[in-house]
Amino acid sequence: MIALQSLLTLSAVLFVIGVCGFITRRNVLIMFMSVELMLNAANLAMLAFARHNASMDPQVVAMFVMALAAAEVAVGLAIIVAVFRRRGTVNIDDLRNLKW
Amino acid sequence: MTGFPSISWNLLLPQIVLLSTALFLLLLAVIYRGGGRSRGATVAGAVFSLLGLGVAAFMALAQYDTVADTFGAMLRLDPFSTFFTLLIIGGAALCVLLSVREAGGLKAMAGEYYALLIFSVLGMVVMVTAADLLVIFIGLETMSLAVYILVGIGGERENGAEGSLKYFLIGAFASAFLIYGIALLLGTTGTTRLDGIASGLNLAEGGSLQLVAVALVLIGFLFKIAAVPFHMWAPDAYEGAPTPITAFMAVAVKASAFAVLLRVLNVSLLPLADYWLPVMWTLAVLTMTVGNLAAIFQGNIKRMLAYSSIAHAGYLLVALASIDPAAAGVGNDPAMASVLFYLTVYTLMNVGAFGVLIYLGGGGRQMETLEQIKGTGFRYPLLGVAMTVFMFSLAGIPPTGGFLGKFYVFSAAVNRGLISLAIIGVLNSAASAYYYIRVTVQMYMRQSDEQLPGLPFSLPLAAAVLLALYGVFQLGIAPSDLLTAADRAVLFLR
Amino acid sequence: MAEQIFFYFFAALSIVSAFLAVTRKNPVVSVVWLISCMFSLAVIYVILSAFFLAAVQVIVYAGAILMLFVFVIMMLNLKTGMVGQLRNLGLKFVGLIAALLILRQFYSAIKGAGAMTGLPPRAAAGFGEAAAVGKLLYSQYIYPLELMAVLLLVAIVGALVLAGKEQS
Repeated sequence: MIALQSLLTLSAVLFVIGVCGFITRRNVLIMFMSVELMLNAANLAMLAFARHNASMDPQVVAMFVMALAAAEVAVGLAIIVAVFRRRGTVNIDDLRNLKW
Repeated sequence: MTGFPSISWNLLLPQIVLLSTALFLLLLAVIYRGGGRSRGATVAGAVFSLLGLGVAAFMALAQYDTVADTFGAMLRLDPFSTFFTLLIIGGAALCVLLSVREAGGLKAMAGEYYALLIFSVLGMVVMVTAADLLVIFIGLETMSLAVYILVGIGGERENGAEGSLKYFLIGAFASAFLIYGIALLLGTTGTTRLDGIASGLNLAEGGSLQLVAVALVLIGFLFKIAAVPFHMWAPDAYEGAPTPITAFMAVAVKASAFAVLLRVLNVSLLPLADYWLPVMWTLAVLTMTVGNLAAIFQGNIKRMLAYSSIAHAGYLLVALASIDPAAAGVGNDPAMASVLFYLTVYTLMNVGAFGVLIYLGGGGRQMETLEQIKGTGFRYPLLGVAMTVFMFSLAGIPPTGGFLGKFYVFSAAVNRGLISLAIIGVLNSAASAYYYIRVTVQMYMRQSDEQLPGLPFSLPLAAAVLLALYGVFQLGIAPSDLLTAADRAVLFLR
Repeated sequence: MAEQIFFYFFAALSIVSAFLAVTRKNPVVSVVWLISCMFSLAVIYVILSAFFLAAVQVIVYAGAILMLFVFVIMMLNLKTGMVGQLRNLGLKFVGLIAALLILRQFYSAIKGAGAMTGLPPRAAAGFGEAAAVGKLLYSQYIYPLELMAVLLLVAIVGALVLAGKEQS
């Protein structure tokens, strides 16, 4: 039997890896991937609760989160492409026209 | 276990109108792109946006007194949500007026510009009428995605894409926090409905997980209102965006985020008031102080107004810290009503200030820094007077609406015994007068180094500035109508 | 028992892949590790009887989202010099400390939630299958579903506006 706690711990660890990645990496693509990781951690927590509470609602919400992730990726990558075309870099430290 | 929810379509009318307007504008964009008539696209886009916003506002106004749920209580219409719907639509309409020249510069993209603007208004209206965290989240994302794009729209501006990227990254990071918080709340309380969460909160059992969840949700919202220490995206996004979009972000995005924060705090998190009230206190002090201090050192007026908008978020947090948990849903709470009043005044004075800035830039000469606006007060006397009024209002000097807004916020704090918070607020407000009045000083007391060009007259811009001017004075002299409406609106917050 | 072995194996795999994904220098390698992480999570979803979501996870994340990342990386043709180096060590250190504190907070919160322990031994029939998700999605959740459609439309328009070729 798998305890809910181990699932939540796994989810928390993934979330924190995502947070760390976002804070420490300067490549915008990898920062963005870290955000995707955080969203997945949230989905894992939701599905664990769905199973634990025998309720389908968290599964439906997780479905929405996946759709949202897809929308976010479309816009985010378009922005990254636009920045790269103009500035030739995807390193956040080099994007200093505006003081960060 | 599940039936199809009953739907009262008439409650959805404002949203349906906004959606149809946005779709129609997209269609219009395609038509005009084929012909390459950019001027027609700009004018038609603006006209139809205003028309759509007007009809939506009319629909919302018609059901001002309605209190009803629909879609299985995912959507809740009450005077509170209608107040904010109207405020957001009004702010957006003013921003459309400000946009006419900017959108003309976008050429082929003008149609999409207006469509995205209306889409983000739709997202905001969804947010403020939602009674379910999932719906709030989706509304928030619709608004945010549209605004990320608007910040980066158009290839000519140098920093648009960079501002957009930074705003996007931080925004996505914040929504990940929000969704993780929602996941934990859904798991521990079994629902995403705001009232269900309130009854599901149980601090004795599994409580600390719920506290973490609440903290994550609040962090997500605090990013959106740019409270310190979650503010670092704001100046870059504000400076990089087209100026009308900067105004839109400063007024409409902020108003809708505050509406949601008020609703979540009062409906779902009231049992935890002992935890979040001190947090709001601290954040208010930090936000006011950091925003004002940073604004003093800015040479670029857009960036200065960005920091000033952070400082104003701080004043609004003062009101949130003064909420009386005992008064919620029973009697009217002056602290909450003051938020509604302040946001209305803030919308008007900010739109006005950005409007003057856009107008000044019309002569083909950039007018964004303190250096560049030297001497403009004499050259363009009407604009100079208008800017002076807006700056005085932002600084909180009577007889403008800005003074009364601050007065109500700080007196709410005093009423709740938060004397030190009120004193810190007043001191901050006094310090902020320095950088607001510096703008006026630059406009009147200095001579320009070069000949200032004549400005072409622009009816929409003039209309927006005059409306804002009228509103700022009206609210400064006769605030009672708005106050009554605000008092009534917060009564339904539960 | 087999369930537990599977769970711990894929949990470990997902953590290792996630860690490698955020630490690799080359974004393409990161994407590959992220795919591995998403795939392990899909297996865990199956263990949690979320069959439909597991399928969607593989199709949407591994199939669509991460492929989009790969396309963009190839399109930008990143040279290694442009990819982030180790800089701002002080800032990163602060970030790591903060993250560890968050993790500790999570852990104590999770451990403190004493009432929630084991999962129920087996899910009800039909739990987590496409029909169950679909029924909820098209009844109770119809309003958010419609809003999601608007959100996706905004994303499409946005991607075209920002990354599409500018027409003169």
